[in-house]
Amino acid sequence: MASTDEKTKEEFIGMMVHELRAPLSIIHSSADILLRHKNELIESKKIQLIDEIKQASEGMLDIVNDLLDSTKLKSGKFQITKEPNSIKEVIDDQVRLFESYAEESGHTFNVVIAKNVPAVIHFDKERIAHVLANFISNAIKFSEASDINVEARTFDGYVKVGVTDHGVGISLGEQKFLFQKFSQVSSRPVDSKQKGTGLGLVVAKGIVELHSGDIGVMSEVGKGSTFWFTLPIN
Amino acid sequence: MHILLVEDDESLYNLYSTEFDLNGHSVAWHKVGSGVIDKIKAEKPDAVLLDIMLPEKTGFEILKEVKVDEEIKNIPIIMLTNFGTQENVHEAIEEGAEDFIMKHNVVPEEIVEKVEEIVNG
Repeated sequence: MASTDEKTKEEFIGMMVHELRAPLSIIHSSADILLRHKNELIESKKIQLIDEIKQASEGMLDIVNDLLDSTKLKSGKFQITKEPNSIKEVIDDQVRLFESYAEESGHTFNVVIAKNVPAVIHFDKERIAHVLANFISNAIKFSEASDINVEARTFDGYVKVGVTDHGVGISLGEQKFLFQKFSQVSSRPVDSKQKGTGLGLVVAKGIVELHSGDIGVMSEVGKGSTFWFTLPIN
Repeated sequence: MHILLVEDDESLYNLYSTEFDLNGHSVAWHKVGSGVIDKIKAEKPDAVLLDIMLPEKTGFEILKEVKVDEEIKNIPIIMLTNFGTQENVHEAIEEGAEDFIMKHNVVPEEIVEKVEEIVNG
């Protein structure tokens, strides 16, 4: 009989296969239509189908990269390079990158950077941008049209960055497992519309901890969630 | 042939409507679980492709409502899902669905063929 660990791993693999299969099916179907109807399709339709292939393959790449990163984090092979960087710049860049995606779904960003947030602290810009991008994309994905607040404050020798949405919220029971690998496995039905492997938060936690920071969530069901992380100022 | 697609994934709408269109059929799109009955009555489709997991209401709930509505109960309903567990298939067929399609197992061409087969008998 399979142990609980083995069973969880099998369920995790099943979920990964499902997450990869949906975009793969979009790519396959788009390519199939393009090939069979290459002479009949108008130019704008062809471009639309190519765009479907691009978006689906980007989604698959994200999943595969998260899986690789989470494996590297577990084995200690994940590297970060701490350099003097501006957290304000990272926040502004990410908000700008997500602006059109947010607009499409009716979301508006409110950015607040407290005056006492240092202009420069030491962190890996690319990795911290990845953490923030994960928080922002989750906020858009898991809330209906509303405001999303992105805030940075200083707190006890740390800079604390938080992303607040007004979405469905997460129960206390589920919050406990959010940053653990395989967390999405047990908490959702087989045919759930809920997207994502849950690995993004696992990777985010690993990145923040390599910076000697902390990561967490405050949430209330029906009201929304704030995902936050801290980075040491010194 | 005129089809109503009830599905919240825009990518699937793009793919299915393109394939139906290239085969000389038209597709109306509805992307939430509420208001489906009114949409069916307005569109008068030859068949409905109905996703199971929808925002606001499930495909199963909608199927049950269609099958007790005298005006639309004879319109064939084909259920769409990601996973095709036996329970899903049985539940849908018992409630009066015409057929069941696991959407990630087929290309749109096969969906058009299946719907043509059902509508044309």
